[in-house]
Amino acid sequence: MSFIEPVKDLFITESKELLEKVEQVTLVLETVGNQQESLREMFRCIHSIKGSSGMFGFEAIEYFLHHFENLLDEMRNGNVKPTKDVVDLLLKSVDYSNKLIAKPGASLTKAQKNTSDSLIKKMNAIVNGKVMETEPPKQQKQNTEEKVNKPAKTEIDVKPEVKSQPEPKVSESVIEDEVDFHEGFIVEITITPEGVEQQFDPGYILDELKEMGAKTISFIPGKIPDLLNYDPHKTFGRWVVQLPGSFTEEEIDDIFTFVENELDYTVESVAPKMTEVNDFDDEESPENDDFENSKEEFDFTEEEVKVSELNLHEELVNEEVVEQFEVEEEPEADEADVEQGTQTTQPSEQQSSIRVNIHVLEDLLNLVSELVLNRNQFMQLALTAENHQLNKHINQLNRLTSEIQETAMRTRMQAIGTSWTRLPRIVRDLSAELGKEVELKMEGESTELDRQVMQHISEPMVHLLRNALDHGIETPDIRIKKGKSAKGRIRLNAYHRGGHIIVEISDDGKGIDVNGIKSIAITKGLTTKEQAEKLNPQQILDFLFHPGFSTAAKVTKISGRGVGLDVVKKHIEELGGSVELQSEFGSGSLFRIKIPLTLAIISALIVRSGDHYFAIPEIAIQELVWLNEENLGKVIQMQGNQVLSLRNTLLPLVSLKEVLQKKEQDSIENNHIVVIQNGDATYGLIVDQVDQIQEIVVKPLNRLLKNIPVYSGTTLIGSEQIVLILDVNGVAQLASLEQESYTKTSNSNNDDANLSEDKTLFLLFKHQQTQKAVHLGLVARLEELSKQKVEEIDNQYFIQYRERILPLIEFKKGIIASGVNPVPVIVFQTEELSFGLVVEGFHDIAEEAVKFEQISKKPGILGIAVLNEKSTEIIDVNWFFQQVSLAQHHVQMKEKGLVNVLIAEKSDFLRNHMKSVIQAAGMHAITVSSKKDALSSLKKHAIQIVLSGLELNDSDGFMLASEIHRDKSIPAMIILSIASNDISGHPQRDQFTAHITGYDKDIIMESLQKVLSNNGLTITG
Amino acid sequence: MEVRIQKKKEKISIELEGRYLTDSYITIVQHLAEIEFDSKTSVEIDCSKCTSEAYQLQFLMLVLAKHFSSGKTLKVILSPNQKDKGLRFEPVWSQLVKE
Repeated sequence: MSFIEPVKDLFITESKELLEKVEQVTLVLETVGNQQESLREMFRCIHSIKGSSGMFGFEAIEYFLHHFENLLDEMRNGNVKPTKDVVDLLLKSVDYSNKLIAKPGASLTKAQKNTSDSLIKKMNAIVNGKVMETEPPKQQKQNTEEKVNKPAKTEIDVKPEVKSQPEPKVSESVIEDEVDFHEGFIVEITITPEGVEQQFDPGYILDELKEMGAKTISFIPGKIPDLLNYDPHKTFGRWVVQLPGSFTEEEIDDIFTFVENELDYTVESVAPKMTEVNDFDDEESPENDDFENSKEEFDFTEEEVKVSELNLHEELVNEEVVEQFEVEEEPEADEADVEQGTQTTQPSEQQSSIRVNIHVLEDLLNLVSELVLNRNQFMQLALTAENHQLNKHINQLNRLTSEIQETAMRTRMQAIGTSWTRLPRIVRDLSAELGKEVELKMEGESTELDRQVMQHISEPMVHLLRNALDHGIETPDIRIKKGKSAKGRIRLNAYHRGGHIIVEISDDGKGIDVNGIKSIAITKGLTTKEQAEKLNPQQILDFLFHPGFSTAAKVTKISGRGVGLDVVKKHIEELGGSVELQSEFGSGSLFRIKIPLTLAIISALIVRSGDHYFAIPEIAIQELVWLNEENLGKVIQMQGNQVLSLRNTLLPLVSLKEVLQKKEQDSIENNHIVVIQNGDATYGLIVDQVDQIQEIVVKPLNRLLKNIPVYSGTTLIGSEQIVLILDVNGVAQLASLEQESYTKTSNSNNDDANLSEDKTLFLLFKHQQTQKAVHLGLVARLEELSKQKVEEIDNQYFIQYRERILPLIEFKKGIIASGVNPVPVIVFQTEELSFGLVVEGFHDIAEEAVKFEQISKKPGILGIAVLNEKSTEIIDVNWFFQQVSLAQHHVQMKEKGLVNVLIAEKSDFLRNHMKSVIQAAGMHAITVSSKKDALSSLKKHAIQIVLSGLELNDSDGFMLASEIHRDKSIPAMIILSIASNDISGHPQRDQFTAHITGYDKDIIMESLQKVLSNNGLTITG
Repeated sequence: MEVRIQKKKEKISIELEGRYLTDSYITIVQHLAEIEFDSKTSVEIDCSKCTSEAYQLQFLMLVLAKHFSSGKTLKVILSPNQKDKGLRFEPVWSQLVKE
């Protein structure tokens, strides 16, 4: 093994970190312009890599970085501005450097060589462009002046005499005649056919020679071919360069190292003449000449000299001149550095951090995990042991283990910003590619999370970012038309919240068209038109997470193939996290990723189901519900499934026993429900017993269990008992819980609060093809009851329900009679009263802010609102309660044998007379003198029959009867005086069940009994 | 590369556009070879929309200059960028502009 091998990885790691820094600074430069400190930092980074490359003999890297460094040097000196082109070149050079560094020492491929040449060519062009600006030679000066008033196009007139021009005699003698220097070389260059094919520009080589001090560069055309004889693969001339100076031939060869295929060249030495040799003794020695030249070239002001001195010091540091001195002073320290491969790091950094191999860290973490397991076992022992001394030591062990665990976990923590470093570059390149202007704002970069978690979310984040760029942000012209700023904004934000990391990626782009998603979902067969109509906007947005779902009109290389959001979601959910999407059409979208801080050691609830223990990650648990007598009543059957009515939500229940062991769940009394949050949905997991929350060490599943989606790992608890860790998502899948059937929970954060403000949950049910709704908060339970258990007593339905008699009211008469079985019943309950509303079937639950489109006058209906994009009648539960109250009163009265008779009569005398008749017959009489009071009494009391006179204080008997029969079917009788007019011709005479003429007691009672009897009532009192 | 040639009375306008490729170049020069011109004809070649490397254009211009040299004038139109690049090959242009 060569001496390089052990440090190669370190070289790669360090160099990549330095290049990452260069990339970051480059992107900053583009927006803020030249910043001396930033440029110095970039220069230092590149110089450092170049130095290391040279030390290890990675020549290709060193050669490339040499040119890179030159460009940075010119920038650092303010000669080259960070224009877009320059920044492009810098970034491409960083990319190329990264590729070289990934395989240091490897031979360059032809493609790599071409890239290198091309980039070097461009870098040199920029550097030399600067030279032309600062020191234009005679001819160039003239051209520079032209440039000031540069027209859009330049015209060069060529005299027709070109042909008649004698072709220049290019002979060795001609060149020799022109040579007026004593030492140096004549270099002749021609382009090879391969160079022509590759459009290789020899200018960059000429520039390098110019940099070395070329005195003249002449193009000597050969015989210009005729148009038709011209072979464009061949050139017909050569460049002749006079290069004075004391170079070696190898130094010139070095310039051509990478262009040997593209250029042919010859190097001819110009030997110093004797007389010139003698000149060395003279005062005007070459060194002096050089010095004079230097003076001309570096004619600095005093201030510039100071800056130069500073730069010189920096150069010395960078060139390791100063370091060499330090090596002599502290040789031991440097040797240690060399061993660790750390050189040129800042002293403070050396003291505060060291570089540790990640495998060593992983080993440490594994050992800590084992220690935690061991601690747990001891803790279990301590619970049973009655040894005070042992317990004391175990407690100490517990404390120390926790501290070690915490410290070890910290070594895995990394700032999330480290995974964001490449994002600005992605945004820059993609936005340019897409013709968009985008500003990326990053907040919370210092938020720390587990390295392993970060690795998992890195790609999903990039995907969401690309999505935002491609689908979210509009092009500048569209944005301006919409009244937005031309530059779109993408915001990345990370923060901690309750043991989770929240990462938000939002944009102020066009948002998501819910209707568009709906159409695509229907087209793709993910839902039917009818089903889609029932979905709320959030449910529709969820289609975006279906595999293969794409809204892109065309597939681009950036996105649009519909591969992505489902993968993003899968990745995040595998981590025990969730992805949430909010979008406002026209205004932008927000993706919120919620992930656990770490995966190695997690807090979990140990539960028992049957004879087995399982661990449920605490992160997924919302709450625990003990199924005591009170809560047992909240478990109801809905569409064949068990549902828990928990506060204002209905929670689908899954029996762990049934899911895992395929055993039927026996009585759930005294069991526990673990309320699980899985993504943005929740469900209740029925377990036999909950044990305790423990810090568990996650161990991978045995390969035999790996394909079972219900488990995510194993752990050890107590006395080496192996426990399987449940994958809450897998459990939901196995239980066939469809996403739509989950209970959506409202989020507690501010943004969500805005969205869910004033929203109410409604239970939707259908009635004769129309949608009805009831406030879910008023619903006690949903039941599907056996029709055989429904009893009918005096046209009133009842059912034996939870040791009580529950009155049933049909939403519309005839539902029970239609033969539906089981009978869907919505149970309403107050402290005093309960009843079941019989409907045709349950439909859905909707969460919406209700705005009544129309207030209803229909009894039992509050009004009409739009729910799930459909006009929906919202029922008035209070009205139904009143009906039940009356019905129950009716029953009570019936049980007591009492009949309530409402007597409405203007005349006090007649009213009192009738009252005495009624009471004498054992009935209960309520007397009123006006229609208004009569209607009011009807609401307050369970009236079985109304006895009205012809005249009332505010109306008449006909009007009263008419009002009563508008929403009640209470029999009404009218008593007419003998002197009264005949009402047989009155249009409303049929409003009365019976007509009584005169106030004879027997006649009244006879008629009354007849009517009551017809209505199933008898006077028993 | 596209080549557009217009001949109006005593002026030939040639417009070259796109990237120079040797294959297409042969076609181009064949087109040009077919144009009739005499000593009274002026020739204008607009290379400003060419994306070829400057030195290649320069070789091309030399060949064209030779071809059209019996004409009255030969005018070559370059973009500022081409001229800037071309300046780095001053010797080539000096051959063209030399009187």
